[in-house]
Amino acid sequence: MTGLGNQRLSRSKPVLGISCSTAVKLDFDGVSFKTVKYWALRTMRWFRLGGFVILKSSEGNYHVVFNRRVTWKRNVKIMSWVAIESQLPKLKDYVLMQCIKGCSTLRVSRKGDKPSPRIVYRYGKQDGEIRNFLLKRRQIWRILRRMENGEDLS
Amino acid sequence: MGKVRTEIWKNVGIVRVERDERGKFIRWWKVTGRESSGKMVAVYGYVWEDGRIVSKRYEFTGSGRDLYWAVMLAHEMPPKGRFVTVSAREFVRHPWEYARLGGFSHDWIGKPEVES
Repeated sequence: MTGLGNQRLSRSKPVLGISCSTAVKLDFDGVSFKTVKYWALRTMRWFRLGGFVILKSSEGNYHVVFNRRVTWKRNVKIMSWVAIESQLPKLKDYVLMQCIKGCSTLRVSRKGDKPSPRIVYRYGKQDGEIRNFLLKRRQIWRILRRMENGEDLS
Repeated sequence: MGKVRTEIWKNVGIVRVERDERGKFIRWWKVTGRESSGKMVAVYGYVWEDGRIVSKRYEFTGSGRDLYWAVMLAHEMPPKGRFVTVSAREFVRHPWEYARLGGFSHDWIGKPEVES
């Protein structure tokens, strides 16, 4: 333990996520499922994104991934549109952070007490970016399971 | 644009062939590699550095065994820079070029909690 004023630091494992610029991803924090579904549907219809999947990351926190592949320029446009229209401050922060990084990221592994995000709702087509996202997520889960079991691949 | 399908040609290998609705040949091109989905695996967290807490992240491209070993190494060693984007294979071969080794000050730390 290392003290830092009134803060306490402890060793921890890093978080694993999926990062890319071609899939539109949104992180809704502190909102109801109904609100998330409304904005996901509205965004999908307005930008013709084909379909979406909603993942529950923890109580009141949701992730949304859309199906259509887009350029990073269009991705930023869509994320910013939702953040401005919905007037959700945490979503605005999320979009700004993704703009700084140059790609958008969503968590896959556990984070402290929060479990891995799980799918709670699907709508429309699922054969594009959603399929790629879920495949990569499964790959990360396999890696985490092997690490927990202490398996050696060599 | 007509219909495109993958075929295996003798002496050429895997090719993509485009034909019109009546099946008439239009063009072909060789498939040089598997198309990537462009998804990267992000490993991110906080590090205690120069008297303050800094967030750092790796972004790995690649798959399979290289990705497994890259994530294994990344779990133990935070990166030197704040944002490191590297192929998993390259990271596994030369981890010391991208990661910091040894000591508590070179470990991942949990999100700081404020004691009340």
